[in-house]
Amino acid sequence: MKIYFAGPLFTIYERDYISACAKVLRQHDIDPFVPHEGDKTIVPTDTRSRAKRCFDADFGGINDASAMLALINGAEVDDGTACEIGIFHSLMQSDPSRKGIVALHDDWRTREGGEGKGINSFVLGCLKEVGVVCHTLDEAVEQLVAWKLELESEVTV
Amino acid sequence: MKIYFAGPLFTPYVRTYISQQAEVLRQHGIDPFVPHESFRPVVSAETAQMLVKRGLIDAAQAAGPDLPRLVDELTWDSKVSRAELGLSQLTPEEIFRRDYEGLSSADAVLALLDGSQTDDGTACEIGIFYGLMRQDPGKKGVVGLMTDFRGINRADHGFGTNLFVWGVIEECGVLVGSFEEALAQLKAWDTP
Repeated sequence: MKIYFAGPLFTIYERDYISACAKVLRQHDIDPFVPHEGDKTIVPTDTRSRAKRCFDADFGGINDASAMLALINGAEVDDGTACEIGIFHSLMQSDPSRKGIVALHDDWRTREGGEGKGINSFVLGCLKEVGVVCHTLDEAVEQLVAWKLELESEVTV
Repeated sequence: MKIYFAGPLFTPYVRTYISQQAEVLRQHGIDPFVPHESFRPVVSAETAQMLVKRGLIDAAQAAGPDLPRLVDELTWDSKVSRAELGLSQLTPEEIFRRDYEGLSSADAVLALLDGSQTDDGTACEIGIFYGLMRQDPGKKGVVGLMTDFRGINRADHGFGTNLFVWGVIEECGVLVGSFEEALAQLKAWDTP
């Protein structure tokens, strides 16, 4: 099952963490699109803007995915990640074969009863409608594997 | 033309700004769905009296046309709970359901992008609308409005917006650095 791995990828440790999680997913036969792992070589004849190149590459990954794993840690959900969650929600409305969004969340600033401001209600409502919020990678993997099995059984039927 | 007015509506001054600009849009024949205005309660005379008794509003306010907004602001500030007003709790599910209704029925989105990053709720709404546009060619697009000087200073670099969010807006609309430009774009889309 192809999934899109959304998350803040601006620091070396964020990218390292996401890549390490992606490795675990691959061990479970889940195929994650990891934005920062893509080929960043620019062909000289490519006249697209940086934003357009980023959009084309990442939207391609989202559009090909049957599910999304979204790392929503941070003082708020990273804006790029939140935007990708919204796009996947819309794609799901017109394509029932897409399974859903698993949010991975263990930031104490946005945990219930934590010291921070909590998760944005609109984003949380969106996630709850089409997915689940997990607190460990194990839980997230378990949900993704369940969806993968569902998808495989749907294909054979 | 109906639009959805997205933005970080967590403080009274941002809500005031959004409501004021929404009024300007209405004067130009554009019909904005303003999320925080959609939660304004119908206030009964008994409730108004209770709020006067508690010193939260005065008698003139209780009888005035601005009462629903004042009472709504009291709930945002936790001065009075929704339960005390006889209103249901606003769960994330309920907030999403109401806002999604406004978003999915809109022809365009005006998104206020101010802040150290685009507010996550706003970013999510931009993504949803872009996804809906792919299914419905009648929808016009997204205008990203930056009034934050940190973004204005980087006008040539997507106003300092996240590269992916910038890319999405570039795909289905424009990024602008003033409300006047945003209004001009919305009016252009509104022209048959």
